[in-house]
Amino acid sequence: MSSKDIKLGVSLYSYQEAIWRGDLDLEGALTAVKGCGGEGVEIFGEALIRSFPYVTNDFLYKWFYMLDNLQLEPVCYEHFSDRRFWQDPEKYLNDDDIFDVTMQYLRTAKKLGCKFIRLSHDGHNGIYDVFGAIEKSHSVVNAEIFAKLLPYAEELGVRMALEVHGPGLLDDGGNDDFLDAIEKTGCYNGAGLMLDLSGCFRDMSPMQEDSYVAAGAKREIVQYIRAMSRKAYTYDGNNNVDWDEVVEEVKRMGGGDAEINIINGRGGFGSLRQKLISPPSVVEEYASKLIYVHGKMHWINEDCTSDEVDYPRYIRALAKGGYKGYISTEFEGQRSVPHTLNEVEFVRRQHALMRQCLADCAAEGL
Amino acid sequence: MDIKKVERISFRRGGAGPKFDKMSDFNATRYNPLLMHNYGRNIYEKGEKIGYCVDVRIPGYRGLPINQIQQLAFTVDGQWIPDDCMYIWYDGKDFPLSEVGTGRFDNEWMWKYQDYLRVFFKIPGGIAQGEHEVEYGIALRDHYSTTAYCKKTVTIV
Repeated sequence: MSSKDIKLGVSLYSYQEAIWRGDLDLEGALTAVKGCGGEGVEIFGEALIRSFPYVTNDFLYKWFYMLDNLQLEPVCYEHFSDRRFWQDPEKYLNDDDIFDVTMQYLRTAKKLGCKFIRLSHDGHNGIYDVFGAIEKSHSVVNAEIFAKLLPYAEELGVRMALEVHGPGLLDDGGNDDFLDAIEKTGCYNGAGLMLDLSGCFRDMSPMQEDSYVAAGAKREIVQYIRAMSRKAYTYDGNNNVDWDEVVEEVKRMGGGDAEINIINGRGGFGSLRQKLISPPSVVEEYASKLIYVHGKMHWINEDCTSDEVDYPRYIRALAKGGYKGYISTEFEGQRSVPHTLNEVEFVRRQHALMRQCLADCAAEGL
Repeated sequence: MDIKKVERISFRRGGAGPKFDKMSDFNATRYNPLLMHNYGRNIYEKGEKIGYCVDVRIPGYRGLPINQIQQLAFTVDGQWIPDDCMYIWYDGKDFPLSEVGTGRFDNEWMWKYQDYLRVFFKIPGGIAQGEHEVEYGIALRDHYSTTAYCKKTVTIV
């Protein structure tokens, strides 16, 4: 176990708007990764490979030249498995079709030199079914398809990364059917768990704060609630928050439903009273089993600190628990406020923060 | 293959979405000011206007198969554009919107992430040259049931 085994990369998802606008082409995006100190790259075929779902030799010649020139490593190829392509809602891709679609992603990943595909699978939100609502037409790769894919992935040398994304938790059992399939097939090199930091959020983003204020909440009260959320979900031994007392304080401050609903939650995804979060202790316990980590984030402060995720504790947990691999940035804040945030700058800040955390671990002998 | 079944807990969303037959089904969704080109054009045939078109982009972070377009919706100066006069001109092809998602096209035929899709409104007489208020809504059949909305002044030449 060593912080030296943890490398930093960037998913080009992070620059999605700059790529969409044409401000960054693939070479520009890869240069941005290099410039922030990243060593590895995650790529989306649907956004960056014009011949998708196929990849041409011409593309590969340029791809490998650019990676070599910038001294970057291809890490992950993003996978999707949508089923719905027809007006008729009863018609959708069956499991054999999804197997074929996924095989194409695995073969392309191999050509691109990637070690992983981030598998779009039914355990993505852990035990929770957020998008599918248990409908087959909305499901993606299930455990049966996954079991069939495992030997092929292992043979190709590309692992299927089972991303655990918020509101899912590493230990909520939502990936047990997939982990069972690995055990039963014995294809341990065909797949593994990956963590997305969306399952480690202790606070909302400034954009969410703005949206509550726009909906009528008082900013001063939202900021008080945010401070309480950080206190409750920062695992420093001082995280006891009595939410009933917080509600009373909100009322004393002149707050009403607009503010109290933030605490009590509405329409799923839990509430601040019982936030779905994998604490650092759980991340440490799972760290040696993880094959990949997505550094999901919406905001990093100008001084390269984060309210959203307690990076020092989580990176320490990964290092102490024996994680060996990449943390790839997934900047997502731009999606709340289209075309107003500088994606390159936020990625740069997060890398500075994570590098500092890794340096602090190394100084501790981790 | 004997795989243990995990009981998942359904949260929030499902397949049952709005009908997308009015702009209010879109305009609460993610607003993107750049989803539509600033300029559109009348289309002439032998000097006569046979309709006009606008150029629109795909929202989100990836290109998708054309067959995953669930609905394209427009109002021009507050008037709803009926589906049956809409045609997609893309990648050298020209076909009615009604043929999307019918099996007519291969699912590998992609609306590329960086590309404008030209939507032709077959409205004889076209539209007066000048500035028009255009609303554009899109619903996709991707896993996330992505929707997006744009409203802007478009100069139609």
